[in-house]
Amino acid sequence: MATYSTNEFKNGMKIMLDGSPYNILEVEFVKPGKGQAFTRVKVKNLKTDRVIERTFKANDTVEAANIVETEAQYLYSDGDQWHFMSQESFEQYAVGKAPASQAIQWLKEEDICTLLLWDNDVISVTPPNFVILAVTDTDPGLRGDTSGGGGKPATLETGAVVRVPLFINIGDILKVDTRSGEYVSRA
Amino acid sequence: MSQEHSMSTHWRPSASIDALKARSRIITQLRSFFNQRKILEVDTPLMCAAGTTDVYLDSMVITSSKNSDDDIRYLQTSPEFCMKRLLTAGIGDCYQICKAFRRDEIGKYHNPEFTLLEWYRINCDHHQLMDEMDALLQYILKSQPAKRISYRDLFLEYLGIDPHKLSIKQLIKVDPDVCKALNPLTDTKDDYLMLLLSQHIEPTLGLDRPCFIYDYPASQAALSKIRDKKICRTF
Repeated sequence: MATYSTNEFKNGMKIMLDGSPYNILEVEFVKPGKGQAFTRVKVKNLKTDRVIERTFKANDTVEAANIVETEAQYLYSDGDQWHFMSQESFEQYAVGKAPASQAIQWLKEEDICTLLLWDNDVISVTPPNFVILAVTDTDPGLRGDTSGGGGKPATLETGAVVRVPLFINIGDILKVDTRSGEYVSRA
Repeated sequence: MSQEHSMSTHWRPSASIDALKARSRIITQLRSFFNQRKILEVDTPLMCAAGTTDVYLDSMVITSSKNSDDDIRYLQTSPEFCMKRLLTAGIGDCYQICKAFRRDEIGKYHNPEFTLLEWYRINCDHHQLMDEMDALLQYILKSQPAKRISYRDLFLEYLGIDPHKLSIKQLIKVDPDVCKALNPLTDTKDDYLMLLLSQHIEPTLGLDRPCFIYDYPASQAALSKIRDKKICRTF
């Protein structure tokens, strides 16, 4: 079992706390004069995204989290699980609803995404920052209205719903930013 | 052109030239402050035959000869011992600006190698030393006169507890979450006090003017005089 001393802590390091994997966001070394030194960290739970603060005595050791990132291709869904194949090892991963739900609305079969593996279990799926998807349903745009004042909802081929300008029609191909869930342009 | 692009800037100092000029100015001012007060500048060895006795300080260890593995030297964590040797020999009031080294102390406000000012006054108690320190800070930093508060009053003011009276169990109740950093079986009451001080009090101290904390628990005396067995005369 790999461990890190708090002296080795760096941003981006993955550690185990209370049985869950965390990513270190901030590290601060605190020392009152000639007194006991402490290391204060801000960490994000990799399963829930919740950010917490924790203080350690300097030189304490903490278990390292076995976290690996891999590029993977989305294969198919069987209704309960989503199946991916690592582009590096060609190993297949079945992912339950919790880690997959956010990402899956942006993915078509065969699309490439990033899997975060903890002890070989997928704990998160990250789609590409930008995806190109076709509009399958939206209200017809009013002819001549190109100002795009309010916009309207459009359903994409993966099921995601985004706000688009009024001139967008069914069948248009759009570029969408998956981080904000916002329409970028026609592709 | 391509050569220019491939040139690295890693050699650049991490401090700006302006910061280095300000540092030089401060060191000149320090010397003038002590000269005006007829305090002697001294220079003692950085490499010592023995390390520090402080529980929470770690010395860096070096070998001073390539022929012998046991010719070990310790880089000083402060010039305290060497300067106290000079005091014992009768040198009188003295000061030193020197490098000090502390293992594993690295962070936003700490560097394992740093410059330290240390000075000693004969027949002077910690309140008179605070007066002089305050004068020095006002001279160099143009700061407001410092606030002074005893260790006990500080804990009463910020946490509503008397640090000299409480047990470890009672200290944990102040912030059970933060106190998970320590183990009540192996860590001391002082560790808990230091933890609460650094988490709950220190971040808000000295923001508008310097703050001196004095009369620490005797268990944190670190070579200072002890009064009534409970309190040490340090700040």
